Amino acid sequence: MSEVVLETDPAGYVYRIGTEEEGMAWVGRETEPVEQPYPIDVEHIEHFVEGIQDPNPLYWSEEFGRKTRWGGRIAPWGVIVLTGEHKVWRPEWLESPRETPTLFMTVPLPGNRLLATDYEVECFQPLRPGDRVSKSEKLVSIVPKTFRVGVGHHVTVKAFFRNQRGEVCITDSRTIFRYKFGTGAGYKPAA
Amino acid sequence: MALPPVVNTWYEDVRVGEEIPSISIGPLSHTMFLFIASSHHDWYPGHHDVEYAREQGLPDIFMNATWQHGLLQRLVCGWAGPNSIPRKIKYRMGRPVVRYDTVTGRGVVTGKRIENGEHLVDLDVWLDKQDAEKATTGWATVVLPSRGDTK
Repeated sequence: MSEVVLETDPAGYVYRIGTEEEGMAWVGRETEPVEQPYPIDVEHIEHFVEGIQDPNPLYWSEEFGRKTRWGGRIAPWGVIVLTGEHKVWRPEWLESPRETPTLFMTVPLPGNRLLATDYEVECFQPLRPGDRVSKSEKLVSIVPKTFRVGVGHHVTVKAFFRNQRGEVCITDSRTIFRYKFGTGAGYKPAA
Repeated sequence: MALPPVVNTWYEDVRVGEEIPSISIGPLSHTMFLFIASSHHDWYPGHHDVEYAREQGLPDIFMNATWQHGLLQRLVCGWAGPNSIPRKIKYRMGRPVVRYDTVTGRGVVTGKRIENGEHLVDLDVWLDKQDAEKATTGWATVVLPSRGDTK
């Protein structure tokens, strides 16, 4: 078994480095559901919608929510990102580098940076304050690409977010461009 | 603040080709970018560190994908009302949303259909910037209440 090569970018993300062929062999791989560290809470919801300046009363008022089909306050989809840690610093980092737990980075590829390009989000039922979210992932595809920031691959991963009852609330198919730093032509402003 | 009334957008009242009300946000200050990094637990430096973003070949720090999704959900759900479900929002980010941009979300209804008892409306949705039309392009499907629903 070959040694696992890891690289950490300035954001603290840890990438498993390998060849395109090694990466392609991972397509179709799925991860087990993992409960996210933080539950959905009111502070998360308000913090999130404050950032998009959304006055929708469903996100701000339990009383308003009670008058709708939902029977109470709900969360916009994006709040799932708040169920994970900040990952600016963690005590476990005092030990050896730990792989970032997403197939975007654990799949072995040459790239050591990433940019998001495409999203497809499906909502089946809303998340609510108090919900505990579990996340699993499936590696859908890897496609070689070159953009001005560098040479790399489009990596598409579908994530499944379930509530504490095991019901799928949200699926999130995301494509990121994972590229090798320093291989691009750079940004050219429009003339 | 007084609660607004519950106002539904009914499936039967929607016309294919109608434009939905636009939304706008900006100019986006550096402070706003830091707030988004914190509120999304997204400390990728390209979203808050100007030097890092430029080293990556980008013109400036740029808003993340989740923020853009949130804006599209605000656009769709603000029109569709509190008893709707934003079943699907799909989008592609073309030009980055960077500091001092003003972003306007727009949408137009492209279709209506009933599937598995759900009243679905399809829309084209997009984000314009002050200097670029359709910097982000997307498609949405929303479940609307029907006047024929028992509930």
